[in-house]
Amino acid sequence: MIVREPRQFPETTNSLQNLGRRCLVIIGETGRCGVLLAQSLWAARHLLVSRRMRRETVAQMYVAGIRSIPVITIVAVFTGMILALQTGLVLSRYNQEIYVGSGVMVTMLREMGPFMTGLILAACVGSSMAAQLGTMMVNDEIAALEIMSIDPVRFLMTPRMVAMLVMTPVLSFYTCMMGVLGGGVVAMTQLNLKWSQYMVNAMDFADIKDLYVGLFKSVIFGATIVTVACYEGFTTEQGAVGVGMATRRSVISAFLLILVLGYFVTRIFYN
Amino acid sequence: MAKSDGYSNRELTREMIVGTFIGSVFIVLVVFTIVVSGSRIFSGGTHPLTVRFDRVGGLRRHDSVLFRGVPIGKVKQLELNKDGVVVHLTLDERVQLREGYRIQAMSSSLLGGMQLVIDEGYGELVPPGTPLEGLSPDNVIEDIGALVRDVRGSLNSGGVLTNLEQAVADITEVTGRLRRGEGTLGKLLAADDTLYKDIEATLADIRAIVDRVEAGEGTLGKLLAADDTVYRDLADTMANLKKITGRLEAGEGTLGKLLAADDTMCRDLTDTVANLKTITGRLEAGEGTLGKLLAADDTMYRDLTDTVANLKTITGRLEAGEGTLGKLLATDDAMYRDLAETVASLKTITGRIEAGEGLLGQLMSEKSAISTEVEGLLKDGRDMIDDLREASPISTFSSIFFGVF
Repeated sequence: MIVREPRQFPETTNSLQNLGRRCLVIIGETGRCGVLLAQSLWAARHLLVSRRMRRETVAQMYVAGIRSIPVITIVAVFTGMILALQTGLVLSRYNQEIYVGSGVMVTMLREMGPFMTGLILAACVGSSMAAQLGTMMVNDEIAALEIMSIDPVRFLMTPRMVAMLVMTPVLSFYTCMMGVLGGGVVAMTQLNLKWSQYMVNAMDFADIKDLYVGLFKSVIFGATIVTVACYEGFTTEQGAVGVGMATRRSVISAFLLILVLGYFVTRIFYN
Repeated sequence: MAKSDGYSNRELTREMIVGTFIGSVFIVLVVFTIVVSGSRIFSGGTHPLTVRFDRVGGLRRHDSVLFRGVPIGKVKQLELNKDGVVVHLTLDERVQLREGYRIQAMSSSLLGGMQLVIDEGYGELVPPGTPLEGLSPDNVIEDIGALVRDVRGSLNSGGVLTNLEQAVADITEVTGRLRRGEGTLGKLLAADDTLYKDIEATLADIRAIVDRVEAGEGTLGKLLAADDTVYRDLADTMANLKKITGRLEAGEGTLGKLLAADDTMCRDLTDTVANLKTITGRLEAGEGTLGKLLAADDTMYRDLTDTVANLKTITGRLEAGEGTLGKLLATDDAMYRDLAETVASLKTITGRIEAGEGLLGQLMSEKSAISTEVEGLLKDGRDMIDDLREASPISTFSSIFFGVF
């Protein structure tokens, strides 16, 4: 497997060389992640013929999606409530609190829905994947699969990748709706708005472009989370300690990538 | 419990849950997409409209289209072409545009945002297929800037600031007077409640008057009372007036003749006025006594003044008892008594004369001898004078003739 091939770098003698080596490591790991992502997507064609892969994919959907719903619901509702409260308090200075629905809707569709979903999945699902694959790695289970001529990427990563690619946009839209509902509760109870006023204003400002850019962004986040988690899992070393480090690195890397990629996707579509 | 194809109940449940969740979210996503995109799948179709603008002032897709103030559609698309902007609208309702229509892009609020407002116009319907022209929006910021410049210019050059300062000073003075309780308004606002008491008393009086009116007292009360005596009197008066006007209409009486169609009196009046005009003209010209009195020449006035002064002097002397008349008017009645005695004496004398006593009485008597002799004497005297008159020319000629020798 390409991700486990040893990386050969010359020894460093000063900090500048060390910095250059770190850059090379990052570039190399980025390339390996890209290759890993391509391998998993390419292996997705086996879903059409492999019932076992489909069942595994559904199982991963259940783990990644259904089990995350409680956390996502709470986070989304309170995110919407916070947005509505803060936006409404500012708008109420100008007697424009009726526009709080539009603020919550646009914010959730464009940024907060995909972003919050990505963070939750990175923390819950990504860390779980990295720990699971890392444990299998340190226990040589993956080596055993390779001995049996079973591609670990296709066997382990592809179902997770497909499950995340499906569930992330679904959960992102779910997050948006829950956030808008939470904002509506605040609008009714704290800002003295009627539910119909809030929803009419929210729907009036909702844009189909915002919705689908947000969904596309969530797909990017899902692929990033699975790729980073699986890469960290497949490259786990040094036993249980390595599993913990891989889990931590996967969460941190996923968070950072979600932020960076989120900005660039926004920059591309809202130039 | 494993199934024959290798599925467990747990796996089946997971698949059902995942499928239900994804399906539900997908359905909501589809509905949301339909609603947000403005598609009208389950309702009537939309009506496209294309309008050309020179400029649209920031109009964007999905901005509202208002017709009579009601949102009826959205801006679907904007296209730049060589001579302006072509805006494609999607309307929920069909709009019948007429001559004089207006389609204008304008700000939806002070905080920003644009909208299209359609005014259908009046007159004949615009034929289908006619290219529609929209009105460019007003540049509010530019207008406000111009307004601010104008205001600033006025403040700097028109003495507005001075006037404002003066006005503020006046207001300060007025408020100071109010605070000190000066003037009517100040007294109204002052702590002293004299005016309030006066107003209260006035209101009490008014209330008493109203009570009297309600009780039917006084003329106003009777007018407003339920008793219709005044009304009947008024009706009678109106009937009398009607009779009078009827007589006037018939030309009866002086006033009727004045109002009649016969213009004799009118002509007389005209002549009178003409005469008056002539008289006033003569007065104006200073003709006649009255004219001279009114003339600018004050000779007569001075004469009159002198006469009045003389009269004043005379009356003064009369008052002082000077002269005969003054003595006659004086309080001293000696002359009166003398005069009375004189009159009595004259009465006695005239009585004796009437009786023919004395020489004068005999002379006055026609039958007395003396009167006859006097009459003859007078006759002889008259004859002698006639002889002298006849001989006078002869004696005059003789004296002249002999005077030469």
